[in-house]
Order: sequence, then C-alpha cells, then structure tokens
Amino acid sequence: MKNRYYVLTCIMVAVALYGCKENERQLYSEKPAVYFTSFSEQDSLIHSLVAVESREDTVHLAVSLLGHAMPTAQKFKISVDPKYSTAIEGVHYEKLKEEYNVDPNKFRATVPLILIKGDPQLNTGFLKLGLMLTATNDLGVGYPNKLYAKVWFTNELVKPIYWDSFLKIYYGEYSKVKHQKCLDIQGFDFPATMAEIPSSMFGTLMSYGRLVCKYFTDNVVHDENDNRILPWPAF
Amino acid sequence: MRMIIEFYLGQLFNNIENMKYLHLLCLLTLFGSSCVKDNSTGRILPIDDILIEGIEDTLRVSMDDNLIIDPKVTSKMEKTEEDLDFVWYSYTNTSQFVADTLGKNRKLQVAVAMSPGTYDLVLRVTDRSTGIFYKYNSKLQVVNDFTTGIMILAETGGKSMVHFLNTVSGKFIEDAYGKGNEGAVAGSNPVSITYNPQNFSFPAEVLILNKDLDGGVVINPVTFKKDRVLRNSFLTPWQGSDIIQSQGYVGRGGGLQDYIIIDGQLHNRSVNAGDIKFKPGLLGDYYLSTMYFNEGASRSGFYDNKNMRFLCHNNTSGSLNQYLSGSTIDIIDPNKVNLKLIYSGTVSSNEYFGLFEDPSGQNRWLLRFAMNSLSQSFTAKEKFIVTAADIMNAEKYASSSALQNYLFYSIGNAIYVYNIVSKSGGKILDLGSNIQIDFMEMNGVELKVGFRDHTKTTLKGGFATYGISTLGGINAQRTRLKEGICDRIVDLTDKK
Repeated sequence: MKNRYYVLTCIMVAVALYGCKENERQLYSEKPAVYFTSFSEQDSLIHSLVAVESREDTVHLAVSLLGHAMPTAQKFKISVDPKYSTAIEGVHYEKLKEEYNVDPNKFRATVPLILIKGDPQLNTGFLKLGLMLTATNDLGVGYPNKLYAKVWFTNELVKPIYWDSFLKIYYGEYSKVKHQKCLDIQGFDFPATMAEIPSSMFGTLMSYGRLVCKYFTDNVVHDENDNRILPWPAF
Repeated sequence: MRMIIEFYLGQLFNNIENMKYLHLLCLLTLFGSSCVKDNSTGRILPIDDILIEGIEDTLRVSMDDNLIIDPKVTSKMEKTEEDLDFVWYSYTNTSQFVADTLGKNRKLQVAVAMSPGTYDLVLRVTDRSTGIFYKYNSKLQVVNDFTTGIMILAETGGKSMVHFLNTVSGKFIEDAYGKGNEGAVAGSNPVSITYNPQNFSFPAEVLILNKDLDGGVVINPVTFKKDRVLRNSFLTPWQGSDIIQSQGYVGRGGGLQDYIIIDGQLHNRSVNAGDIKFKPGLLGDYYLSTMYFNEGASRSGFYDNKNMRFLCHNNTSGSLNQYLSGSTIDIIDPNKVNLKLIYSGTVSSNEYFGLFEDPSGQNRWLLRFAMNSLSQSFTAKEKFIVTAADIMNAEKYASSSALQNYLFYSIGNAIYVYNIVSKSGGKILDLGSNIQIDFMEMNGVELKVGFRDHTKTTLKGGFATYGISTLGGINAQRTRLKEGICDRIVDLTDKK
C-alpha cells in the first residue's frame, strides 16, 4: 500500500517538474522592415482635389517600422505599380523620390505624395495610383498585406467614409450639394479619414455644422435628387 | 486529476502514522518561516523632541514684498542651530513634485516671486545626528494689487477704461488696463466686465465686452494684460467687419456652458471642455433679452423678446428649446407670454421673477415662477401689474437671492425698493439732486451703485456701495464712496 503512495507522489512531482521550463523571450531578431500604416490589401485612399485652390495637393502616406528603431537614418523605397496605375508621372503626380528615410530612433515616417489637379479627366472620374514598398540594404519589407498603397483621386466631391458615423451628427444627411456648400463656407474639405481629425478640431466642425445648418434654414436648396435640404438638429 | 488528488489526500489523512508526519512537516515549516536575520546594530540613538513655534497658520503677502518669518525652534536635548538643518519650501496641489525652496536658515527672509495664489508653506527641521525631521505646515497667500477687489468698467471720452479698487488695502488703481498694456485703452462703448475663475482646464480670464470693432477683450486676471480680442475668440471666423454688437455675458450655470449675447443671438462655449472660443450663434428664430435665469441651475434659461417666450438651453445642442407648458398655463404660458422682459431676478435655486412690460408700454407686470431648464419644466406662481411707486419710470434694477423677494430700482437720483410678495415698498435712498444713477447691481447683501455727479465739470462718474439690512425695516448703509474717476460707470464686478 505504502509503495502505491510513493509511486503516486513521484508521478506528481515528476509532472510538476516537467511543467517548469525557461520562459523563451520572443524578441524580434529579423532585419527591421517597413509597411504602410493605414493600408491593407482591401483598402484604398480616395482623395478629392475639389477644395484645393492651388495646382497641387499633398497626400501624406504613413509608413511604420517593424523591429527595432535604429540610431541612424534608415532608407526605404517606394515604387509605382504600372499595372494598377492610370495616373501618369509628371502629369497627375510628381515623381517620387528615389529613397525615403525613417529618422534615427523613430518608428514612423511620412511620404508626401504630390497630386496634380489640372487634367480635365479628373472632373468626371478617378485616376488610380498604386505604390509598393520595396526592400533596401537598410530595411526589409514588413507585413505582406501592408506593402501596397492604392490612391484614387478626383476633382469631384467624395463623401468621407466616416460621414454617416460621425459628421452626420453635425452636418445631417449627406448630399453632394450640401458637401459643396460645406466647402464654400468652411474653405476646406473634410479629411479623408477620421484618424486625421484631432479631437481639438471637433468644436470647429461642430461650429461649421451650425453655420451650414443655418444656411439651409435660411435658404431653400435642393440636393442632386431634387429633394429639399432640410435643417437638422445641429450641435 | 481532481480524483487523483482527492484519493491521495483521503488516503493520507486516514492513516494515523501519516498524520504525525504531516503535523511534523507543518511545525518545521512554521519554525523555518519564523527565522529572520537580526540587522540591529545594538547602538541606540536617543530621539530629540523639536518644537516649532511662532508661525501663523495663514500668512498673506504681496508679490515682490519681503516675506520674513522668525520662528522659535526649541530642542529638548538643547541642540543648537548648528546641529539642525532647516529648509523652507512651498508648493501647490499641482506643483508638489517641484516644490519651490525658499530658504535654508531658521529665519526666513525672501522676496516673494511667486504668482498670486494660495500655497502650502513648510518649514522642515532635520536633526543632523539622527536624520529625523520635524515639519510645520501653514498656508501662504500671495496676492497682488489685482487679487481682491472691485473691477470698475467705465467710459471716459467714449473709451473703455478699467480701474481697480483693492478692497483689502483700499488702494485704488486708476487705469489698471492701461498699466498692464503700455497705456492702451480696452476699446470703446463698454458693455460689461466679468471675472471667470479657472474651471478645470479652462484658464481664468477677465472678459470685457464692448460695442466696437473688436467686440471686447479678454485679459489676464493677474496682470491685466490683454490676451486676445473677442473678434478672434470664435471657433469659426467672425463674419463681417462691422461693429460687433456685444450685449451681455451669461455666467456658467452648473459650470458647463457660458454664453455671450451679440445682437440678440446666443453664442455658447464649452467651459467644462476648456474651450476658450465661442461657437456661432445658436440656431432658431429669436432675439434674446440680455436678462437670463440660471442662478443655482445646471442649465440656463433665457427670454426671447422677439417672440415673447421663455427659451432654455437644456442640453449642449446648437439650438434653444421651449419650456413644457405644464399645468399653470392659465397663469403664465411660457411659450406665449406676450410681454417684453425688462429685468430678471432670482428668488432661490430654480425660482425666479421677472419684470415685464406689455408691448403697448402701458403697464409693467411682475411674473413669479419656478423653472428647471434641464427638464424644461415651468411652473407659474403669480402674474400681476406692479403698482410700485413710479415703476413705469424705473431705469436701473437690482436684486439678490440673499435678500429674497426684494426688487431695487432707480429713478434719476433715487433708489426704491419693492417687495414682490407683499407688493409694498418705497424710497430707500436719495443720492442728491445733482446725481444721476447709471448702474445698479447687488452682490449678496451689498448694493453697488454707479452714478454721475452733475455738479462736477469733468469726470462726473463715481460709485458707492451700500450694505443692505432688513433689521428694523429694510435700510441701506453706505460702505464705500469713490467719486470723480470717469465720465460714466458701466459695470462694477467683484474679483476674489
């Protein structure tokens, strides 16, 4: 009987000891790499040039670093995908730089993409530009589904993707006519993504929403579907 | 696994022999855990008892003055100052991790360079032989000339002037705004002056409203230096280049929103969010009176003199809303009053009165009511034609919830009082035949009166304050008088 207890004890001690092992520290040991912060395979950036008064407009593409920040500037490259792109270099966008930098001890970089709005094609439709991150001696490329940025741009109004989830509170239901009036009153278009709106700008949008609402209260205006744009409970 | 453990423990405790081993094991564990290393050195230091005396619990000092404190420090072990370390330091709730060291001797002698405010002041005495320290805590109030007093908004030569009467020292600072702004004037056609203390992330400010191109100025309440003009204090650029018709400021009901009224339109500001800029006018068809109803309320009530109805800003939305008519509509329908508001007063929290005039200008009415602007409820109490002495010629008005149900009004040089419940009253003050009263306001039981003295050839404007008491019948005792400081007093506001 006693032997049964000793055997059982030994088994339990063995099981307990087997469960102990050194915690493996899973540190990133690969070459640092870059990826587009805000793009995935399904995403594209739709940008309107309608409120831009100058010949050019700059879109800032965020690039993130995977791995360790480095003590010296690290270079990465962006190239144009000709199969995807309908925009022409020098006509619809400024030539990209040969290389861009991730600054010392930084995890983020910004690539300025300068779009040109002169072509009449843009008045009736979109042009497309596909950009790819490519490896350099300094930096590899990161997540495979975040190496591609698709930019669509036009001179037409583009409904911000967050209108119904956010701007509607201040500006009511969307219509192109209302959107155009917003540009007239505000003097600026809405940022393409909600992430580009700092919280300090909420009060400004709230205030402009009030002014736009007052305009449609004081004036009878119809939208592109010939429905009257009615005032809304603005903030 | 659970079955194995239950089986094992069951067998273990059923066996008396094993129970002995278990007890032994527990005892050994206890013995082991009670063993600790003794780190004591065997040397015992006697501890002194140091007493710090001679420091007032609250000290008040002006900026740039010398702060001198000579405390008495006694040691039971008769140690001298050479045996002790001294440090004086001050801090506030927001600066305690970067406390300001003021001195390192027993006697403190330092020129005060801190900004006005209340600080914790500490003397720490450390016994060098033991390292044990003793502390004495007190409060230090740093003030400057502009800390406590009455801000006087006046008009001289058509310009807005700000003077300051320090009510602690009695010092009168003429042209306080000019002194803080290299002789500049605060604008023209002055309307009002308001002191807004700090409210969480909202910085303290003094707001001066004018009817001029800038609409007013916002100044630093400590230095009176100009921070910005009202024209640049909107979230969207002010439209138009004409004179901004500033009419009044509406305080912070519940600390959430405050407002300015410009040409009958209400502009709100989110005080609780720290917004220093105002939004465009609230939407709707209205033209507001500058009188409002929000003392003691979490939301503000207003009166629309265009449509002759009450309105409330019951939430933070961009429009004003009507009150719910309720069951007292036969006395007053808050949405169809059909009278113009002249003056509003507060009886107590959420209970108000208003002096109205019918559109024909034939009668003045007094309406008493309770309202809750948050829930939009309105309960009428009474509505009657006021028969007080010469009320149709009343020019300026004042009241206070500290003296409930009394309405003060002025005609020319005389001040009258009227009890809105007993419906009785009469003249309480006569300032003299050459006096014209231009301004009246009550703060608590103090009545502030701005006047012009027509016996003077220049600088006719001055002001007086009166303590109002109801002991032995309502009466007024003059507490301050300041004459010959401006052409006309526009506003008198306490700053604390």
